[in-house]
Amino acid sequence: MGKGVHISDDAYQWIDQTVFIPWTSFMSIGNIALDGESALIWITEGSGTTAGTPLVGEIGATSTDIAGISMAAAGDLISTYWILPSNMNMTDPGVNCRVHFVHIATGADTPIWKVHHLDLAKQQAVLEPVGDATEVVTFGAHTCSTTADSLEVTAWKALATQPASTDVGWLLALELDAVGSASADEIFILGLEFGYSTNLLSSQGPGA
Amino acid sequence: MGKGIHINDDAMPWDTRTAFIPWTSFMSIGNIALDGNAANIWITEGSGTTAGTPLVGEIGATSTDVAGVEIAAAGDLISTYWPYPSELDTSDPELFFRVHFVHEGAAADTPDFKVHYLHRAKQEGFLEPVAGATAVTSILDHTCSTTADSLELTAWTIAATQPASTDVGSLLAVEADHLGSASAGEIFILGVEMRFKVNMLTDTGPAD
Repeated sequence: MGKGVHISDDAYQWIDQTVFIPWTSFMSIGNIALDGESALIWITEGSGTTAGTPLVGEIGATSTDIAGISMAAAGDLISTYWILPSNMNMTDPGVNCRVHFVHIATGADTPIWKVHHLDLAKQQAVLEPVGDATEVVTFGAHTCSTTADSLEVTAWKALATQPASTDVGWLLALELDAVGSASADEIFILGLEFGYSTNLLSSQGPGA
Repeated sequence: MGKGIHINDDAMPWDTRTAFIPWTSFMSIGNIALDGNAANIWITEGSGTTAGTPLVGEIGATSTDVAGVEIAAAGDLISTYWPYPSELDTSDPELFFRVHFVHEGAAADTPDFKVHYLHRAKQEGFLEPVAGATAVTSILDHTCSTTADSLELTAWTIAATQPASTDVGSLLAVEADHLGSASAGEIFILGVEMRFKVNMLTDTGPAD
């Protein structure tokens, strides 16, 4: 260390950083099936290599040209693997999450979401993120706008357990736990967002 | 605040940040169609739930094993939703766009691109980003290399309207507005890149 000024992370109050995982990056998207006249992509849902639900469909009571994961029923979910960002402060990660979705109906529906997560270190067993030993974040009922095709973003919700310095990633599942009076296919997932505290100067990131 | 050093954003000339959205993350990818022996992914393009164009195809006059969104005609486009990152400085965002693409031809073609975008606050309408009341940034007359299969990046072009502190994200569409003498299937979109100013210490980011 020379005689220059040494500034550590302690001198800064970094704002939380965010990362967004669009539905297109979820890895449970694997199977395709022809559905009548339309050719649609299906999502596996805890059923191995067989085609499952939910379905990918165009968003909107009015056409938007943008597709999302259409929720047919409570319990529909999508799953993926995600690596912890290198700038996450593993001494105090403070990880929160929230869901971005579109509500195409005009009722003040109150859906409830769950995020299942399993923190993973290197060479730890990869498991199905819902059925196996995972942590679950349950959101409070989110009251949707009565304007059709509204962009909905839930409140932030802290993870029940935070990742440890030995972890490198998560197995994740995003589940519509209750439709809250919404009808089938009135809710479309856009993606899942995480917020977390950062260190930008010290090497205190996830497992090397 | 204690007696320690307090460093704020005004003291730090942060570099601008960039975010790249590859075509694989665009949410207008919803339909598939069987094309001979190969199952190709199609993109919805103003045609609701029916299969549309442009098509996804392998890039290159010489095989590259990498696919892109193949532009068949002027007006072809892809669409998506992009949440703003937490560090985006909404007090002075200076949001710019540029398009990454590959040009297969050997002529100095001069395509034009358009980026359509619609800044959105929570519970605002989720609209089709071209037909909805959007802002448009035109990226004009990019002169392509005369070397076949060249990687092309347009000039950075500033967004005509900038995100506000109440916004959480935007709806985006990237359109090949004019082929500039290129033939059908000679231009492949790789993705769109955004550049923006940041604050890392003061929370001037998008709506929480």
